This record gives sequence, C-alpha cells and structure tokens, in this order.
Amino acid sequence: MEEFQMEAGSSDRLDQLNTWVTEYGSDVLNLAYSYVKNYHVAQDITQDVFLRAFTKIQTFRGDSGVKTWLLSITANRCKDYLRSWVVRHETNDLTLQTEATHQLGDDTEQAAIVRLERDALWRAVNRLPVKYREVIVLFYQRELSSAEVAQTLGISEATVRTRLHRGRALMRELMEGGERS
Amino acid sequence: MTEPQDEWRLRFQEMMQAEVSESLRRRILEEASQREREAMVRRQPRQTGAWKSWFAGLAGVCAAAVVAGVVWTDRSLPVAPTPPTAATTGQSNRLLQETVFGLQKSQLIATGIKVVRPANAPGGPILQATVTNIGNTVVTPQDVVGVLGFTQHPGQDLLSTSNWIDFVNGPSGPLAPGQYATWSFNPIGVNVNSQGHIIGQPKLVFFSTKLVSPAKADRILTSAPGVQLQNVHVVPRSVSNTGRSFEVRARLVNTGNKPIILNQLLSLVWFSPQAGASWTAASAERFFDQVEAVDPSTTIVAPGQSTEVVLPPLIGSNTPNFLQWNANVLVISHTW
Repeated sequence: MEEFQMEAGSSDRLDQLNTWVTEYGSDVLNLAYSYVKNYHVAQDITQDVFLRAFTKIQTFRGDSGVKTWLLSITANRCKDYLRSWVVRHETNDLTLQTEATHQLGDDTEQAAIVRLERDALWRAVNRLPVKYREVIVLFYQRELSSAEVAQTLGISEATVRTRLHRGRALMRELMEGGERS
Repeated sequence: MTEPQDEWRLRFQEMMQAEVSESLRRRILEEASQREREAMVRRQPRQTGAWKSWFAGLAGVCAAAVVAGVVWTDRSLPVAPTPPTAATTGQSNRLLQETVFGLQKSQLIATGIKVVRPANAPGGPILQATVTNIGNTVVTPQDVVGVLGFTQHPGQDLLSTSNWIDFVNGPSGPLAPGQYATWSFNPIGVNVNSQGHIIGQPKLVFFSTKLVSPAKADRILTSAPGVQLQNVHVVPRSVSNTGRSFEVRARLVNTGNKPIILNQLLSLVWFSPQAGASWTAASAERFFDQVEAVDPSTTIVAPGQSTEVVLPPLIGSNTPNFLQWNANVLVISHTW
C-alpha cells in the first residue's frame, strides 16, 4: 500500500494533489478512456476525479491504497457519465463535437489521440462489454492484483477471476477476428 | 514456457497509453487552487473581495542560479553562542549549533519537471519545470527558496531520501496569482549512472523565506545533536567562466552520547555579505552538502571521538566572489 501522510496546509494539499497527478494520472486517464472511449471526455473525467479526491483529501483514511481509491472514484464517475442523459441522447452530437475538438487540439495531443485510436489492443478492449473491459484494463494494463480490482470495482475476487477468464477469451476472439479480416 | 497470463501482461505492456499532459495537470491544479481560495474566503467572511482568477501566459524564463545554497537563521529561536572557527576566508565566520528552523511551503508549485538536456551532454544536464503561483498574492524571487533533489521514486520525501540535493532559486521575476513561468536549472555534480543518466526522480519544492515557529512549519530543520565542528576552513578550489568552487574542511567532534552516522548528516553552508545575515537574505549564497570523513573508512564517530571531515566540493556563482563574505556552517540531521 502506498504511504499517505495527511498534511494540513493548503499548499501541502496542492502539493499532494500534484504528486498524485504525477503518480496516478496515467492510471486514472487510461481507465477513464477505456470506459468512455473518448480522449477529451477522459481528460475531463480525470480532472473531475482528482478534484473530487482533493476535496476529500482530509477524509481519506488510507484503508485502501491511493491508487485503488482514485481508480474507484474513476470507475464510478465513468459509469455515471455513461448513464447520463448526454451519452444516451446526444451520442451523435458528441461524436461531431469530438471530431471538431480533434481539429482544434495541438499536434502532440492530436498525435496521441490518433495513436490511441489505431492501437489494435485498444480497439479490441473497446469492443468488450464494460464488465469485462474494466477488469481487463485494471488487471493487465494498470497491473492491479485481483484483490485490488475487486476492491476498486466493489465486486468479489471470484467475480474478477471469472470476468478475467471470459474477457480474455473474448479478446482472443476479437483479435483473431480482426487479424482474419 | 510463457503462461497465458504472462502473455497477456506482455501484450498490454506494449499497449499505447494516454499520458497526462502538462495542460491537463495545470488545469487540475488551477481549479484546485481556485477552490482553495474560495473556501478560504468562505471561512473568512470579512474578506469579501471576489477573487479574480486570471492565468497569464508564459511569464518568462526563470533561470535558476547555477548553484544556490542555504542560509537559516530564525531570530525568534535561540542560536547557540558562536564557537571559535578558523575559516580561511571571509570575516567573522560563524558556526551555528543547536538551531531550529521552521520552513513553510510557498505558494509556488513546480509541475512537469523533466530533463531537457541529458547529463552526458556538453555542459551537463538541464532540468525544466513549470512553476505556478497557486496562492492569492504576488510572489517575488526574494520570497522563496527552492530545494531540488533526486529521489528513487516519485513519491518519496525530498529532504530525507534524495541521493543529491541542493538549493535553487525561484522565478527570476514576480509571479502574480495564477501566473506561471518556465524554470530551468543546471544541476552540476548530480549523480549519474554508467549510461550517463541522472539517478533518481527529480523533485522541486519551494519554501517561503519567511521562517515560522516549528508548530506552524511544514518542515523543521534542526541541528544534528552532539555534532560540533571545529577548525572550519573554507578552501577555494577553482574559478571558471561558469562558477567558483570550494570545499569546507573541519574536525567533527561527537559531544553527545550516541554514535554519529556520517551519511545521516547534511551540512548547510552559506555566505552572506553582512555578518549575521540570515540564510534567507536575497544576497546569500546557499548550499546543501554531505559530510564525509577525510578517511573514507570512517563512517561512524563514537561518543567523545572526533574525525576530520570534508564537505565535498561545491560550485557557486562566479560573481560576486562570495568566498570573501561571511561563511556560516550548520550540520543538520539527514532524517528531518
């Protein structure tokens, strides 16, 4: 478990937040991207996650690691987003908006988005149903243990193992299908 | 044979990953800072002025001094009488003992610190970072002193676990609330591995030069108990276009009742143009340094024993010649 020391001052909290962004920003952003499949929305969720963590910094007890705590917030925020009215009713608009935003993004960011979208593994992961996708990403990409995945998602370890097994099989099918086509 | 689990892990290691951009990090910190300010206003109803959040663009390049050093003097706390020293340079040099300094983090926060020129390049490594004023008042160069260190892992404590640590300057000009600037620094003498890469993760923290009581401090510096330096000599070594190097030699006496482990000590060395000036003075040249025995086989000094020590060579700015100023040395415990 990561060490976490509660610090009192405003500057310390901001410094702590900055450290978290450095250490876990990539974990949060990639998990968010795996849920929402949109780089800019994933960035917005990442910002929201860290700000929520920041406001709760005094109440964080350290019972779990900081990483699993942040990823747990991320998973919940993403599920809220996917359930939201915006996603259910404005999918087409969102797509258009995303394309427009892509054109406005700087070259480095645009290149990163293109690389993400072209990555064969990401494409396969993104085609998995959410319940398999989240455990696959947390376990293999973010390298959490099955116990940590269970804690992050609020499910049992047995369920994690079952979904990993099924998720791998689906991934294999998707990737072999992709290779054949 | 590779297990299926390992095979998947290998596949995922090669997967393209999204990285947090500097602009996203700044967005997060600025928003958090804004929330802090709003919360502060709510807690202090008499200060009803609405915060005008403004984020200026690049404020300018803040080049840190080649090597800066330290100076600590808390006038509100007792400082032991100046023991006799025999420094070879400067006037009325003094050696501070049994001193406590309370440090508070400043409102400057460093983000995106990275190596922009490798250690094995001509001229040595250059680090760069974005320094943002997340407070609600203007910060001037005289308000802050930076500490740069390299730790094994990003989250480790800068002051107690760095394999290399030194003082650095803050921005070269004032930073208004929300304003940020690019900071760069050439850490001469930083530890590198056999491939010429810097060892450790860089971490940069800015402290306020206004010292506070230990109760209010984010960090406390205390002189190492039982350590007394005698016959302190500041020995100039060389002068070049880029800097002026020197080392400090002294006899370390263990006046306490516990063994002194030398690699748990750090020394604070500073030079000031006025006698008795604080290390926080804008004109001071400040340094952090290790304490090594002249005889490399000596690592521990038993109670009542003494050994010749050297504070390894340091490089300060070329002009003015700070070695002619008043020299101050304080040995602190590494585990602060």
